[in-house]
Amino acid sequence: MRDPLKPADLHVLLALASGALHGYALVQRIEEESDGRIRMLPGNLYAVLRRLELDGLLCPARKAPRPDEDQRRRYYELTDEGRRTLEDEARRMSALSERVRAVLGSESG
Amino acid sequence: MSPHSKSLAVRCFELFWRLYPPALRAQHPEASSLFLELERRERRRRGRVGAWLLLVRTVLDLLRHAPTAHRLESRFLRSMRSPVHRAGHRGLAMTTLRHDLVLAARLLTKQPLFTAIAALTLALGLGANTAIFSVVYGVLLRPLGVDDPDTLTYVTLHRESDRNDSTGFYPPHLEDVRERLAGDGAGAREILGTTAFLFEAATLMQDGAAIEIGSVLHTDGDFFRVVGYEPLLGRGLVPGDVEGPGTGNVAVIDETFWRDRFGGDPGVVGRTIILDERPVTIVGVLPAHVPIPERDHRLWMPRGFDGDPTLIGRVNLLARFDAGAGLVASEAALRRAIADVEPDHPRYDGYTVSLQTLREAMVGEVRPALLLSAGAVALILLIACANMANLLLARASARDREMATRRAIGARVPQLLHQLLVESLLLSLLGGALSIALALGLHRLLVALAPAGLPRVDAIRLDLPVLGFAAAITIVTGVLFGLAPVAHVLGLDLARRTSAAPRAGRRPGARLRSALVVVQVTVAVALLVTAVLMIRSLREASAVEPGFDGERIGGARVYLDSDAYPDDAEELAYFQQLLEGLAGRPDVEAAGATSGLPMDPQTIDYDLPYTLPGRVSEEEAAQAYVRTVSPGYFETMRIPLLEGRTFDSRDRPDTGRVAIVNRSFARLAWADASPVGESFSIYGGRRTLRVVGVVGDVRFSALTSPYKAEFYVPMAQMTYGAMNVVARGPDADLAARAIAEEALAVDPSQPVHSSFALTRLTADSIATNRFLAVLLTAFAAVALALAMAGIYGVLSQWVGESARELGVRVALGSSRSGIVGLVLRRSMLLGAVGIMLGLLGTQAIGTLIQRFLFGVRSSDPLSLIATAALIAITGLAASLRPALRAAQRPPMETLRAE
Repeated sequence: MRDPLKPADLHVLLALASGALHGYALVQRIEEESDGRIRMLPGNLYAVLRRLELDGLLCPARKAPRPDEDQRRRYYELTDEGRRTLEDEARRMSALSERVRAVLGSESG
Repeated sequence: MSPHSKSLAVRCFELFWRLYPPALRAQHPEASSLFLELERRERRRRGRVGAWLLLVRTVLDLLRHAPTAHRLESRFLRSMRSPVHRAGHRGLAMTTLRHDLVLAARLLTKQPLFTAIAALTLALGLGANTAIFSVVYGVLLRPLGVDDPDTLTYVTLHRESDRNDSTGFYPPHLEDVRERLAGDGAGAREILGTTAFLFEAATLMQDGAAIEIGSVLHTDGDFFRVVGYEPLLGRGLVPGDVEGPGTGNVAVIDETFWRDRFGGDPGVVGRTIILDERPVTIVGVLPAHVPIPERDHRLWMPRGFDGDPTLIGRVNLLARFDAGAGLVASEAALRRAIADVEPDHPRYDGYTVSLQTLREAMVGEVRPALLLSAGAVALILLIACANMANLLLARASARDREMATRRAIGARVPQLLHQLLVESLLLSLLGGALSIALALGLHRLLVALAPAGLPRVDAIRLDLPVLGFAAAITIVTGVLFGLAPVAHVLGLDLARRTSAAPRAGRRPGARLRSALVVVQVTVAVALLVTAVLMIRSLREASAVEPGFDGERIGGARVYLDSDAYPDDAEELAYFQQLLEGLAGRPDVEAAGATSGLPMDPQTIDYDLPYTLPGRVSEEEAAQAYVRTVSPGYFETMRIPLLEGRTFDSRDRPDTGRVAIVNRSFARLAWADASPVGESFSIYGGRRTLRVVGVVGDVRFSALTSPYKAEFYVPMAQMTYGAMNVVARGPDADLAARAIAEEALAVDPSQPVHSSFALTRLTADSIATNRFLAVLLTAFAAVALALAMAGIYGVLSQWVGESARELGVRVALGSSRSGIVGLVLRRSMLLGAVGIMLGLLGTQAIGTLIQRFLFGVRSSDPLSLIATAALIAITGLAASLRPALRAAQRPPMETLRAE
């Protein structure tokens, strides 16, 4: 199994899990899902997108911007590898939380 | 933000976005529009300051992640098996940086004296700037703690002919205006909401005793919605809290009240306090630091406003306008509404309104003085920078040989420059760190010195935004003065390449150094002239005769509760009894009461139109300020009686209406004729007053304010429940205490609101003048010292470099005094150019300074000459040592050393 995902990577992948998004929508989605705790600024966002793209976890989507949108917008979507990574991460985290619960439970019990 | 032109923020973003690899940038052409959207959203949510903070965070974020982006790009290129191999590039840069840092640190520790002088110079400049910025930021820039403060405005009702001639609203009038604004279809869409409020004093009781008197904001219930406060606990006030005319039974308190009275108990909502003998339930707590509008109120209560005549001219109005409509259109809409209701409200005939954003209304008056201070302190930093540049240049010349050697063994020019910049940045960081300590001290001093009436003093803090500013100016300063040695090295390199060997006395950098000294002297002159003008202006203002003698006068504000004293007769009886009590005390020489006390910022100063019999009312001087005074007031204040009599027990509610006019009123209305026995009318001719006396003029709002036409009426014939009681005693404090004691003796439920010493109020009235004079004098002293250090340094350097030339001159028979003269002439030349430029510069900004001056012109020749002379003398003094040293050196020694 690979190393745990960095929080920013995890949030980007999670935001894309429900469909292709462009940069600004990604920022908004991540903010909503983290209750406003995670605010991605352009510098970080584009670096993370680039890294995930180079790692083969996401790719530019074929979706074209709507006519009323900024035509320069680029949409991103998860690759199969990206989706698998996200699932692996979810499994890793639930395994971890079960382990934590087991340890704490045995202590208090 | 205009969609047509790129805003400063977007330009700034694009500048730093360039740090990213070109391939990545090409992939994201939409980056700046993404930033623009984030910025707009932030602006909507948190206002202009929020948007700026976002820009700062975004730039920092770009700086932080740019290296990662480059690493990724090179990884990508490698993965493409590109022959371009960029790995290790950053590693190399890091090694160089570390190497240069070590080198610079070693150099600085090797020359501790140089380092100490440089760091202290910088700390002085940077620290003073940081401290002043903390005040500027706190007062002018810090967020107000309300929603979108730029669309929240304070509405001033004033005469169409004179913006300064303002009054408050009267509820029935206001009600019609607001109906007109809201009106179906025909209403003003520009105005989103309005709220009326006023301040009242209230007494907080505990176990039947009064424990505190404070100011309470009474509002119609829309206040919290319109202003947009977020309570810490509970809720704000809503229109439903208003139950008919008068004050409701609930209150919102602020955090300080909550902590003082309830120890921060989280269960405070629902508890009861006794205010003016009535139980009031607390419904919410507001955070501290949002007492807006600026007033020291800690309680907010709902109130139904009705036609109660005591409310005439006392109600304030805030309006929230639609950002899309803009301030001007909203003001026009409100003016239309005022004009529409005018026929029903003849009292407000000829009145209109002006809108001011809340921030402007709160701090507009002090902004010029703060900006002047900020400008002056920025000049100090400029001088410090010039000094640093000079120090480094002098050292750079001394290091010519080192640089040449390093060039010879293969160091490239960019490497040398890199190292020089690292050195100057390290120096400036050292100075910056020291400056924080200095700024902490200065900041405390400034807050303590702050003139009475400076708004938002509690917003002045040394916190993150201020420290961010300190960091920014530290780096900018370091780069700025670091450029000087860079220019020097580049000049050397050029000279080497063109093989034009520098001649003695004409070394590269010598001219730059002289220019820097001229700049220093120029700036020092400008600051010193301004300081001298401020001091003279303060002296002029302090020497003004106020028209009364405030020595040993103590006073107290007595605001009677209108429930306990419902009519004039009872209020009059109270004050008569209080004054009788005071008259009977051995420690009170004289006592009196007035509705309008000179120099008291809390006093109500209002004027009335009056008419003279047989003359048309439109005549000039149709307005005069009215004050209600008790018998004994003029005697207590020692306001001279020029003619006729003062008020006494003959003036009763049932006797003929009388008035005493001041000299200005008498001159305006009756020219040279005696006004005693004449009469004039007020209240549209419904009341006629017979003049029984003429008294001297007094300065009313400040020592620097002009005389105004005033008339006085006896307290018995125009009674107010809010009076200032004054007494002359052995000293002001004892007199004030006597008033407080007598007030408690008359009615224990009505303690005095606040006490004061009259000379204190008088001094406070020119506190801004004093503040500026002290500040600028301190700045000028620092500037002078730095400029003199500059002259000294440059001359010493020149004497050192010209040792050979001077030695030859001595050998050829030049006398010692000749050598001294030679050096002094050089310094005089630099000084004279600087002084000329400085004087010219001061005249250029003369109009800017003039507004802060009283009784002295910015072109005042005496001040200019005195300053020029002072600079010239100190300049000569600073040059004397280098000159004598040059003359005392034995010529042979110099020549041998060559």
